[in-house]
Amino acid sequence: MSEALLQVEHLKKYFPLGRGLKKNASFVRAVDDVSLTIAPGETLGLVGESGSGKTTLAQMILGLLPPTEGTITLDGMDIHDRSCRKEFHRSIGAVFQDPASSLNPRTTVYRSLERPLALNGYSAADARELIRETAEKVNLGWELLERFPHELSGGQQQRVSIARAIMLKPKLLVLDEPTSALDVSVQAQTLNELLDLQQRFGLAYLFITHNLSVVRYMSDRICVMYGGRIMELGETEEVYHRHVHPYTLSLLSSVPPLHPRQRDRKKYLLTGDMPSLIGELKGCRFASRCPFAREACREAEPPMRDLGKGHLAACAFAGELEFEKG
Amino acid sequence: MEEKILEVKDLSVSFDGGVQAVSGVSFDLRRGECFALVGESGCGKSTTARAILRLIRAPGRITGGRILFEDEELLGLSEGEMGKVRGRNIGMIFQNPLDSLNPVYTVGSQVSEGLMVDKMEKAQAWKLAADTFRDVKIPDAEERVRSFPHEISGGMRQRVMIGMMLCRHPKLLIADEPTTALDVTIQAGIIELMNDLRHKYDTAVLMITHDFGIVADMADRVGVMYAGQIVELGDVFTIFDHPLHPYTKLLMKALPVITKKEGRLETIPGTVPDLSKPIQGCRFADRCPDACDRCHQVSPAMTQVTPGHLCACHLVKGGEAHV
Repeated sequence: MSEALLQVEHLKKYFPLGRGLKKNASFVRAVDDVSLTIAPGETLGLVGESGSGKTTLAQMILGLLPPTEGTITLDGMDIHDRSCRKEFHRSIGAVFQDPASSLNPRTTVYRSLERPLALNGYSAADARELIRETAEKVNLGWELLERFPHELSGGQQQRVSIARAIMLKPKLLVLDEPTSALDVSVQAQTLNELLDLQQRFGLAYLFITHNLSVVRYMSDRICVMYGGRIMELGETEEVYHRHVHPYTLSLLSSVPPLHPRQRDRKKYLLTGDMPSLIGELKGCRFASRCPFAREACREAEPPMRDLGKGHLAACAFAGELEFEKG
Repeated sequence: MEEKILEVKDLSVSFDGGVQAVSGVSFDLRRGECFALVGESGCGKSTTARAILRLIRAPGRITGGRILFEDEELLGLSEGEMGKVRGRNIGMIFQNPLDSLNPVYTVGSQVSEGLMVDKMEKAQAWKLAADTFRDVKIPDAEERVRSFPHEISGGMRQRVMIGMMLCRHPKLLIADEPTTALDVTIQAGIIELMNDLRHKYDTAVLMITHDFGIVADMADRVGVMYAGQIVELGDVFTIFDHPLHPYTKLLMKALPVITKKEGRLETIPGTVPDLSKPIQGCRFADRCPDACDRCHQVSPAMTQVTPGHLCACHLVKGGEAHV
């Protein structure tokens, strides 16, 4: 796709263990050869268990962590190109999980919003105008801006974080578990607001979460990660109803049911832990916990198979396995 | 009617300055049953759970009501007698198992400690601890009893806690958001384990959660809490199929079960009322789309709509909502 807004290619992040300069130092392969794209105005949902590399990937895209290998291109700008660094960072915004810890507790919310504008050369009057405009967009009352973060509810704090992220009119927003700390009713409000913002301003979202119902509600496409690699990627309904990777199957069957009637559904529960990502890794990373694993899975890394309509799966037997429907 | 094991009647808990965290909560648990208290943060569900074990610390205080465990009034016991109820008759597990485990003792010694309190020999207690680890499906049980809490994963720690509680065969287990800190794949395993063991040992479970999915997966009966009160109580199928209280209905529609192409989620306008001030009328009235004058003046009592299905709402009578 040439019209992609964000293009990530063969991205790797290896964290060295012990002394970094030692010749044969071992590495934690937190993100290992990940490629994906996000189109303008699209939401890509990124799901996976803790330790699957979701957040490391997000931090690299945000420029908070230098990648070990691979390229990140946003709107034609390379993340390594120093000449457009400011422009790159202005085009991308971030909202994190815990709104309380991403706001300075010692300054008012207004100051927290003003600071990035001052750094970008806005005059006090221009900043005031832009803050007023943005606060309106996220339904944040003007009187709330003179308060300190602890005087706001969790939902209001998260709206301040969203306001700060969209103030400089970015094209892409990285949302790292934005509603995990919120209650169901507040979560619904926040998700609806994010969808409205997307519709009005054509924002693209990288939506990271472990909540599979939230990701289904929000996303156009879903990317499932495990052990630092993409397991399956495709359109939301395709991944939900016609998934071919055993890991996606296990993940979806772990989701608690929507009705007590579904209590006795067929479950594919995972046993054991995620394998260590240290050192040379052989074969499929999911093989140790996969209920369908065969000898071949432990020998060679499965290639990414294209099942059409942009549906990709990294399983040697993708499309051949029979999943019992719950 | 099955035998009632726990009866909570008109329980009220307040914190200093008069914050009414729990006001007039009543429910009961039958032997071997799983009862879920569900609600959003600050609704008083955890406070209710702690009050049952009298774990409310100052400035909090139980200001009224009765807690009957096997017809014995827990609020009348001395602190020493209460200590014998905790762990032996009523076990409790919390959200973060790392806070509940002592970092400087092995998990095996912490599990066997409770057994030795029951006058069991040390060697036998250790053996039983290993058996318990197998019961909660911890691999390599003999090795793991010698592990320290930081050496095992979060899911394993919660399994240790469940094992530690169940090895003394309590009649009631209170679980306060036991899977909230865990991954969904680990959560599914813990829920299955709790369901298996509950039936194996006929233990009643009081489940505290904010997640309707866990309610659907485990509970026999449900109490929905809002602002310190139970607003609706009934069989799990009834609550899911025919919710009556406006809060329950709205909360169910706020769950993301659809895609964005199918529409938008329902939201509940406004915020939870300030519990430090006296509230006149129904506590949900300010946010309720159907509230009438009476709702703002008179607090609705829990009334039975159909057998076993109770609801505290002026607009609900005899199974149908009068709007």
